[in-house]
Amino acid sequence: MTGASKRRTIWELYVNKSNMIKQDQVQKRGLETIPLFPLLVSLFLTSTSLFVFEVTLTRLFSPMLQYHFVFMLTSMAIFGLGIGGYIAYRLTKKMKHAQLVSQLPGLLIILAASYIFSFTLIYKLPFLNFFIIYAGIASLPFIIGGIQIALIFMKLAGDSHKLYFADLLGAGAGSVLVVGLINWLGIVNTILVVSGFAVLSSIILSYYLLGRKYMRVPVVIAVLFVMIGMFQPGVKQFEDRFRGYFTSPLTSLSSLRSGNISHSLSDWNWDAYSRTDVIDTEAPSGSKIITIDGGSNSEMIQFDGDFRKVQSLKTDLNYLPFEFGSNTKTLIIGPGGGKDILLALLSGSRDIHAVEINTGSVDIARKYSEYNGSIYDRDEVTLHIQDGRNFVKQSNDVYDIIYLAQVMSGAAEAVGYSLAENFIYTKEAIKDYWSKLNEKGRLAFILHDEKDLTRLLLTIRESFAELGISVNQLEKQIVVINRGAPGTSNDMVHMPLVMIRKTAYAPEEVKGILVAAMINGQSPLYVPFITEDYFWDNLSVVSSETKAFTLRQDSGFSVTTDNRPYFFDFNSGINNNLLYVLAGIAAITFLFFRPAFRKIQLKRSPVYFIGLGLGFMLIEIPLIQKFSLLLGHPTRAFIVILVALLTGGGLGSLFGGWEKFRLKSRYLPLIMVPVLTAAVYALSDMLLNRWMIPSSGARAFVAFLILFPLGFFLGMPFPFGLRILSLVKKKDAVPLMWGINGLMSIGGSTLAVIISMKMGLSYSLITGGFIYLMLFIFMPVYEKTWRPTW
Amino acid sequence: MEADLVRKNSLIAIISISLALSTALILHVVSSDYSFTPRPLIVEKDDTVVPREFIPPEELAKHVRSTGTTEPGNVEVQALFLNLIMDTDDENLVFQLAFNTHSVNLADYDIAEEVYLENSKGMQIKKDFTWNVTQKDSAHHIMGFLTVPDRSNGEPFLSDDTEWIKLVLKRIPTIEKREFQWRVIS
Repeated sequence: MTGASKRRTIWELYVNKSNMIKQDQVQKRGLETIPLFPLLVSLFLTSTSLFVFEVTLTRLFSPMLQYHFVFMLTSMAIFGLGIGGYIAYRLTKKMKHAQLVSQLPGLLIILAASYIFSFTLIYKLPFLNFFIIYAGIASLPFIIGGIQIALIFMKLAGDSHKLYFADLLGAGAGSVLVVGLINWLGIVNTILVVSGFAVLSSIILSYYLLGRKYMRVPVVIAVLFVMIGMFQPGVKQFEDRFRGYFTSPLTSLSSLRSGNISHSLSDWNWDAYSRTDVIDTEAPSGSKIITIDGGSNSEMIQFDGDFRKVQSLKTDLNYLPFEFGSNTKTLIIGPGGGKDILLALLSGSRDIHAVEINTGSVDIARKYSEYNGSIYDRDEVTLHIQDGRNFVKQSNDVYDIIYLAQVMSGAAEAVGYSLAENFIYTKEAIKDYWSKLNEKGRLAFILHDEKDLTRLLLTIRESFAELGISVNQLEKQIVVINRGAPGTSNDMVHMPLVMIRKTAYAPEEVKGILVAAMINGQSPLYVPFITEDYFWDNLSVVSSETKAFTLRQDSGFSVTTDNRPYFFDFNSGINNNLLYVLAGIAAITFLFFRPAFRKIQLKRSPVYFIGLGLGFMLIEIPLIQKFSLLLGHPTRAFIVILVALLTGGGLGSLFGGWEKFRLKSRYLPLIMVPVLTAAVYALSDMLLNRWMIPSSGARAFVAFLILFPLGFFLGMPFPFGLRILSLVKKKDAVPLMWGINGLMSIGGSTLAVIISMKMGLSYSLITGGFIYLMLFIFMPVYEKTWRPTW
Repeated sequence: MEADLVRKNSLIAIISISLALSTALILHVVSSDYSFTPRPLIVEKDDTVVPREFIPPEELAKHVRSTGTTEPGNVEVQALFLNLIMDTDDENLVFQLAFNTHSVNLADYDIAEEVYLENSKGMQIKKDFTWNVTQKDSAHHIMGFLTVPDRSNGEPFLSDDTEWIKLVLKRIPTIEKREFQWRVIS
């Protein structure tokens, strides 16, 4: 009996070859001897299940936590892949390869169990304030999956191009599948399905590695899963009780509890974009709160078609923009529960275009159509499910009013493990809105607080400067009004209104606005002809210290642009959570990987795999952002971009071993990546600003065509590196390289977010391209002591 | 040997899956649907003024009285007699005043000391005014409520036969005496 088998780890028990099968049988049934295709299918299934789980985690954390934490926790969970790679490496030092390989089917069963276990603990335990525990729980499946994939890559490093093909194709399939699964089956069924994938993968490997009779256990488990899946009332009840969310102190529910406001959670739905809740309160207006991902709220007002019953809404600050001027043709971006549509109807608007990015809000509003008077389905209303900015870019119409009431973009992060933003409040967006207003049209924003008010005013000022509208002119066109009577809300800026009109206000018009604000208990912050001129000159920051909207220099708030759209990032430095992720990566690298690299005497090649991990994500993340504006919806962008990059990468991986891609000791795909990245960026800019394609399907197709070649070449360098390791008899290093690459992918996505936030999306792409260029020039995949064998 | 293998395979698979499913089952059983019961509250009288009904701005503008301008040295004053349009308490007369200027330091003026009221019946109120500043962006932009008991020598100042009332504001540059008058019998 070997030392390793004595340790009797869980998977050692599963198939302990030294006790059960003669060594020659093991050798005979090692991975090298089984047909490659089932192995690829198994790898594909594992990769798909891990990817679906990863996105599901993002969905799971989003209602419970603020979005920076969601990013941090999901990233830390995916560290598990790197840790799995490291564990696989350690196992190779303690166990024979054949023993390790024979444990793979058992490992896959444990993977299936870990999906359920991990999901259950996060979903059902009361909210834990120690986020590191969440990260630990969430990382379990990634660690186990990481071990499995790293072992397969190690055993078949010579076929790494094909393996990577299956791996990337699996992730690409996962990106499509996760949207369908969550949208159609819900989040609990999604977990059952991904667990089923792991079990199916185990069945395949059991058959080819151990023989038909050893398939019985995974088959029985698969049948059990099917039976659970058939008991849908139980699954639904399980899904109803999301205790982690119910007890989180970071949600709208928690705010209502803190305020001792009577409320109940009357309905909810999940989709791949967000969780949407309906909260009943006892407000006299009889409104329901529609909450997206636990924190982004909009109202649904009780309405039976009789406008006399909702006249009181006219005293709401949100109604003020509709009170002054024509409202014949109205564009509402982000109407959520439908209150904004009702305000427009109340003002007499009869041609309302409602653009809502979150299908969940519309579904809920339609479900409660009796309550809200079928607000989305009235004759006056045309609904568009897409990103508001994208809609405006495509629209050929002009409007009397374009209205955005507290359109939150935090929810956009929901798709993929990146901190995404939308492009609603950028300098270019203001210009787009402006171009779609008629002669006396108004652009109205309802904001949250002093921070976003300041940033928007700065952005408007710069946007207008570029349009050739001076501050002196702007002063006569803009009104800023704070919500609530003076003296309320602790004198803080609270959900203020910013309204800009295409033509200047006359003094008597301003008086009308002032009176309306005064009588309804609102506080004018800036009105033409009244407020001091230095309002604009000194606009930098809104101070809360002076209990009023006072202006100070040196806010550090930047103007948001399409290249740097992070409107809600108010940190002057780098967000701590992002730094924690980077620190975690550095710690794991130095504590575990560096000593291992030294031990196996690899100095240069780790740099190659680190570079690939960082470079890939530094390019992928900003592209998702950039293309979400082009494609009109983050979910669509997520699918198109990932399918293009991952399937392209998968195919590229297959062809990556082609001799013609080598120029002496250089590997040509490495230089193709920066070249194509630059081309993709330029083309996407042109598509966005010059050749806007009206059909969303055609746009998706064109985006796919543009991205596919880049994905093709992005997929080549990684398996190429593994193959080199195999050729120089360093197969043992494969799990390590696989692990460090996975770890650095998280580092890359974190860096991409930091660079995009602080400098711009293009800088992230440039950094990614630069890394590939450096890898091409210096080719660190070759150690100085090696001689290439081809 | 093979029987051992099957048994051990089955064992490990059953242990891991059983652990996961039983955890799910136990935690589900001890969880519950979302519910919240508010703590009992002592309800306080809401004495904020609220509009009787929505009044369109153009209609409201008819109730606003304005004097002065924001030219250098001058002050624009807007006044609203809130009893006419809002549900206020019956014991006080409430005015909303807004002062805007680019040059005059409004902090130098105690509004409560600079006002008096007259009505169509010749009655006057000259004291007991209360001035509550509710918004003060600077010494140039001030808004607030002016309140005074609805009594003059023990008689109601505002009664059914009062035709008009006049608020007089003194010594606010550059107008020595600003008058804001409202007709109270419709």
